[in-house]
Amino acid sequence: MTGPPRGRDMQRVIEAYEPRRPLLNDLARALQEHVVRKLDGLPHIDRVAFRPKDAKSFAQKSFAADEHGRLKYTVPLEDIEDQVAGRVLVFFRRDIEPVVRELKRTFNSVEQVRKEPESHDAFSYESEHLVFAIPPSAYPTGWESLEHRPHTFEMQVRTLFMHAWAEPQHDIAYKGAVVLNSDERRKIAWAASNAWGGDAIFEQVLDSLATRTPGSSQD
Amino acid sequence: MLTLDRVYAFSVTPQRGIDEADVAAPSGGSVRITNALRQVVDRAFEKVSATALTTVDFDFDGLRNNEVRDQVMTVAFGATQAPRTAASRLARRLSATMDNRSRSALLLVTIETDDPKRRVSMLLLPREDVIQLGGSNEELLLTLLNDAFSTGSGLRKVARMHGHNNKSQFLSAEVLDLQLMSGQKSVADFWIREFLKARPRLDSETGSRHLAVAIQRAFDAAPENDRDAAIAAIFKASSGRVAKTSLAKFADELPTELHEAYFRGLADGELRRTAFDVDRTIVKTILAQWMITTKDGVVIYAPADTIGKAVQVTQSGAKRTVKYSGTIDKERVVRGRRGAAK
Repeated sequence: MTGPPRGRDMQRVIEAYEPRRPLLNDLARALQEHVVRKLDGLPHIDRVAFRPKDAKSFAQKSFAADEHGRLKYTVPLEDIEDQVAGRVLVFFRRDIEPVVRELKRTFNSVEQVRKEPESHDAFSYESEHLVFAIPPSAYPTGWESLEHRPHTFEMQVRTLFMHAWAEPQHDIAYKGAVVLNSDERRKIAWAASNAWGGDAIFEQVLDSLATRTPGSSQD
Repeated sequence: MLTLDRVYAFSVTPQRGIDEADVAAPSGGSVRITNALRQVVDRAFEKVSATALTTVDFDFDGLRNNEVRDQVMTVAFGATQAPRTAASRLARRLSATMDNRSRSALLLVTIETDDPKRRVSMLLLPREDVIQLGGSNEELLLTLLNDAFSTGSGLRKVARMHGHNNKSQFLSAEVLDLQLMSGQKSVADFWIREFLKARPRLDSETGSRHLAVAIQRAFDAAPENDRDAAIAAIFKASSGRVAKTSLAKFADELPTELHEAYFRGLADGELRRTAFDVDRTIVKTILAQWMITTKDGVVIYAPADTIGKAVQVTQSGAKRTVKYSGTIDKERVVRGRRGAAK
């Protein structure tokens, strides 16, 4: 069983991780350029952004426990897969699938999970999560001489509405010092339902417009 | 330091096309590790390590499942009888992917340990007949391994995976496949695509782009006497005759003097040795146009596939001459640039 990390354990991990940040930054930049180039021409892409994980967040994750209370990561410098992560934001739900398809054509896919509430009457986080193998063409100079290094990077693809809910919710729920009460959770879920509704309404508008677009069958 | 921990050996025969349920289980199992075996395996792996291995990524179903990877991890980290069963399943799978063009072979699965890491190697060794493996066949195994590695010619294929017991590990394999660059797709695909269910780590577009730009750099840097070799390399890359290659492998097409320019900016590591499918269209697009400027200021801008045909370049000593004859489609007068003509 593992307990909460002590300050000096955290510091030790931060000191091991921090010198690698420039390389992770170079890797993030190379991957971002690659993704921007590959998605060029696809409509409704708001932005593509990559980042290296910050040292404090990495250190905290290093001490995460599995369901048996044991350390989840044997070698965190290899096992934590979001040391470099990217995100693609699109306008509409229907834009997610073509982006995912193109990303899967570009990189070797390891995992793909659609994050969404399990219950039909719940509103919460939604996003397409993917894990890809890091291609050798993106390795920055010095990457291959690192003794421990991640072999994968993470990507999220989601709409602006999904993102507009996820970011402030993450800030409040994970970074807040106080545990949310039931009323606060309900309000956050209400905000999620509005984000979901925003996406759904835009889809309906697009469907409606399509019926009146010159060349469509109902013209 | 890695220590040889376990060895399994199976006799595999081609059984492709046979119903899944009817595929016969391969004969074989655990092999007792003796000092002699340890030595011959160590020597064999030294030879493998000295060879340029290419990296392939396993294909996953979206939930990180790949049959070969799953079995290999059980071989590496499973308890009691599970590793032997997993090794046997790998042999059965290999057998079911081999067709009659393949001869019977011996699959050797070795597990080396350096806690918390394990390295699992699968070696496919030639064996014309099916052999019964068991406790008394260690001598035969030693002979096979010695024969395979003494010349290198007998060794068919190697796949090697390394890591600790975590979902982030064993996602890729280092592969030696002497038939990998074969122009015959089915031969090249057998070990990687069909048995391992893996794909080249470098995607076709990126690899082809790097290749074309590297050849372009080599051509630009080529002195007069290496120019023909560079031109031949361009034609080979864009002809479709090379279905699969790596940047390191294709360098063999060029004189050593051009390697510095060819490899400039390409990190000396996985990028150079990883095999990829050559996309002829991409190579042709990048190397599409040739610009030849003659001493008297004439500029010929020619599609690559006209070189050697309508556009003839010949060499006599250090002097290179160009000849072209064709029907004019359109012509115009353009304003001269200062210093354009010498």
